Amino acid sequence: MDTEKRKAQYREMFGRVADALGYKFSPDEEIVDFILEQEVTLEKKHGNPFCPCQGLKGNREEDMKIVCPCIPFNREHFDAMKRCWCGLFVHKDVEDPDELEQLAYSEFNS
Amino acid sequence: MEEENWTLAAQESELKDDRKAISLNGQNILLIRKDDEIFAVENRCIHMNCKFTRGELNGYNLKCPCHDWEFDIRSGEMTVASELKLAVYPAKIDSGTIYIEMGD
Ligand code: FES
Repeated sequence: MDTEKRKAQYREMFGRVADALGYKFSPDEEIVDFILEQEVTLEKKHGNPFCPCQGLKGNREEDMKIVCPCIPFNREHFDAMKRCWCGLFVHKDVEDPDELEQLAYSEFNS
Repeated sequence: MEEENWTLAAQESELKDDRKAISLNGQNILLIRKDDEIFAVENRCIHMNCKFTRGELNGYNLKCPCHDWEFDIRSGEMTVASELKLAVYPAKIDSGTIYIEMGD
């Protein structure tokens, strides 16, 4: 698998999903490129582009919920942060992703 | 009244395990028969383009074999995020022949 080519494919496929959900790729291009690269590595290893910022649980039902983009399965949590957990995607109106904070799931849920 | 524009898609006898993947007007479409009703959905997952041909059907929910995203074959909507939609086409069976309406 050619890493650069695969990253370009992710941009097209994941961008389409994120767009429909009100998200876009982070304007921080360095982060985007880094995370997509990690995902290619994960896909080469596990067969799927898992979110590189979340741990695999070892059971298919749970692990399929963290294949990128995992926005559909974490909608309320991510909407509260205006970003996905990794920061690969942000809400469309976000211009400065550094202003956004990660909110642990336990905090969000309390 | 709008004019209907049915296109011949397949013969019912060609369905195998109640399914048939076809290509019509450049679109990949999966025909699914369920309880004597026929459904026609885009055969390309909105996530990473996998085909649904071997996807499990639970009720009206079709599970993509690649990463398990599920879509309602009646509306095309993803079960957990209705904004993510597959194209669905009106379909009917008439005397053993399956027709679908592709629109313009
Ligand atoms: S390609 Fe269908 S769920 Fe990933």
